[in-house]
Amino acid sequence: MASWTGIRKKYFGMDPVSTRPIRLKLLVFLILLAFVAVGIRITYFAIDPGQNSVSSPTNNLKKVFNRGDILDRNGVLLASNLPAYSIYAHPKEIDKDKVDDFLDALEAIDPPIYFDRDREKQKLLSDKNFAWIHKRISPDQSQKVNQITIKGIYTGEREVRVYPNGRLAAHVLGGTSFGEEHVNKAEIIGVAGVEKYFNNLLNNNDSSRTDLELSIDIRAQQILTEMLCLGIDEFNALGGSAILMNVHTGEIISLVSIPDFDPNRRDEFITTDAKGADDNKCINDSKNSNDGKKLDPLFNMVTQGIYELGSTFKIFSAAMALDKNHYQRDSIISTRPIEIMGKQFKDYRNHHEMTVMEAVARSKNTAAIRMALVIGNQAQRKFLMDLGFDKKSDVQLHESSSPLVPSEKNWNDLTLATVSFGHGMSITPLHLASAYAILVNGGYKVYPTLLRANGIEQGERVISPNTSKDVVSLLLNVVENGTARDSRIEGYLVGGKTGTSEKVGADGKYLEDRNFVIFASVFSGEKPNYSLVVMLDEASTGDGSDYERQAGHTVVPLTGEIIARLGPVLDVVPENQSPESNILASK
Amino acid sequence: MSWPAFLIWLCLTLLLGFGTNIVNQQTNEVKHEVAKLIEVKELNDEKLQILEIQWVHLTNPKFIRELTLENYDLLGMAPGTNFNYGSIEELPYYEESQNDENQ
Repeated sequence: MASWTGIRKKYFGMDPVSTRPIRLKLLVFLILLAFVAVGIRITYFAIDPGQNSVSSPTNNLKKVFNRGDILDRNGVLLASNLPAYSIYAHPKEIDKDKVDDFLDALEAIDPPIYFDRDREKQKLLSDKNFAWIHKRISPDQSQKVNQITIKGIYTGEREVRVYPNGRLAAHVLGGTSFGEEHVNKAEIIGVAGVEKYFNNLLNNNDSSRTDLELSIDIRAQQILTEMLCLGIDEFNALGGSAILMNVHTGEIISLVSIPDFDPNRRDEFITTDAKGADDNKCINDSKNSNDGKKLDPLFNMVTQGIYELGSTFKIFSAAMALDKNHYQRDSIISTRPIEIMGKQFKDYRNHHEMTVMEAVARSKNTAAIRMALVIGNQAQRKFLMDLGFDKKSDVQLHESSSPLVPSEKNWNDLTLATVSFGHGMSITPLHLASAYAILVNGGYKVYPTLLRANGIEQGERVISPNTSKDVVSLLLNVVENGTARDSRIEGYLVGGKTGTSEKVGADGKYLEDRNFVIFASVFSGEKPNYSLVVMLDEASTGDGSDYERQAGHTVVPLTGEIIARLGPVLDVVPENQSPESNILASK
Repeated sequence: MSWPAFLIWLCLTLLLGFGTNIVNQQTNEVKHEVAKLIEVKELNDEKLQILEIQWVHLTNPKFIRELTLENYDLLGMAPGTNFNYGSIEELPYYEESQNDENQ
């Protein structure tokens, strides 16, 4: 048997003895090379341990849920995201004979997928390269669609926005729609409400997801919505609105406008005849507004609607006169008829002299005019502008309107007179709630906000603390002895001012038999923390006579009920109890 | 280089190579495990989100209110109002508990 040394010598002519040093050097070189290779590999591992692109958990979370959540002031989820699917087709690839079978199978899916059969059939029979069939189906439905075997139909993953509380806070949240759409991803964009206002913040792609914490309290929102619905039903009104505000911070605790809509399916409410209002239980279908149309459910009456808010303005005239020391609460003022620029103003009855307090409680137009007259045109205008009536509210909603204010040039004595009792100038209920907040919070300006505040940011002073105190006592007296007696509640001291304003017809004239009733209230006690404005559109206790359409008989008792229900939720302790000894205990 | 030195070098090289290979394999296994865990976490996050939304939907104040109205005869539950406020002294056994504390 030939040895390895013999083979090498025979076939390769190598002498094992003479080549030994070379072989040894080669071996040492190879070993060194191996060491270097191993060293390089170890260094490589050390430098880049994640070379197989295992992404971090944060990135993955971001991939699944892109848009930030919206929460109420107590952390309750108001808007969030869910995984969903779309159905899309490549019509060119589809066997046209199978289109009907596919649509039959699609219709048979449970839970049902709603679609327009004729429209989708037309799309599938066309020779287009691409067509959307449905943009929002659940993962369960998607699984069932995938079980239908037809070439050219596909499903793609995407994210959808959901509002688990349904209609609650619909006008605050607004809604979303799809922006740029791909088969496996769709951008969500806000189209109304805070979803629109904070769209960039919620869709922030640069950093981690940002959630939005609102000032809204969903429990208060539910109470206001439920009670407003009851009021609309009870008084056969067309609709209504309400806003609850913290008078110190300007935080909007609740904002309701009825008819409302479901933000989960906002698109269905965008119709010319506002058919979406039909499925709102608290709206009476048989009643139409003066132009025969139903109210638009997408219209936010609190921030978009501008109205002449009637007698609720009289407290501003009183506040001005008290602040400038022209009158005191107990000063005597005449309520006899008064003529301004050839036009006579008078009240229905009681044309005698009375105190300012009594005049406000009895809602005397002539007293309001006299108090405004001593202030003068420009001072009156400036005061109202200081209350924030000069511009759109700062609230974080694109759906907000500017007040209708006569120009400085046209602000004459007649304007002064009409504005003093709430006519000739239109503002939103939000403006009114903010103004009442200023009057009772010590006189500081507040900036309405839908974001949860971290503390009180003191605004500039509009009236003195003493005037503010006097205004609170005037408002409390209206409820105790005046036109708002039906809002009295055991334990809570409510203050407020009623208002009635006639609606304007298509010809621009006032409609005497159709009006808005408003009650702007503050509670509780001599240092109120909340202002609440409730408004009903064409409310009546009976057949619609003047008496039955008054605020005192409609919106006032409704507000009383609302405050009684809101108190425990807002931790407002009844006046006869001390905060330390109180408990919320069922009796 | 002497034979023993060479053998030591060789053994060290082989050992290092073998060790590196094991570390490499373990690293890959851990990486796959991490990837799986991330996938599971992602699924759980999604499930959690769905559950949270369901929870909010089922406990939303409107739904609760409707339930209490439907079951009023059975439960007699009504929304809290100003009348539900009371003094802590009115709680049953309050006096007894105060006496116990004093003792």
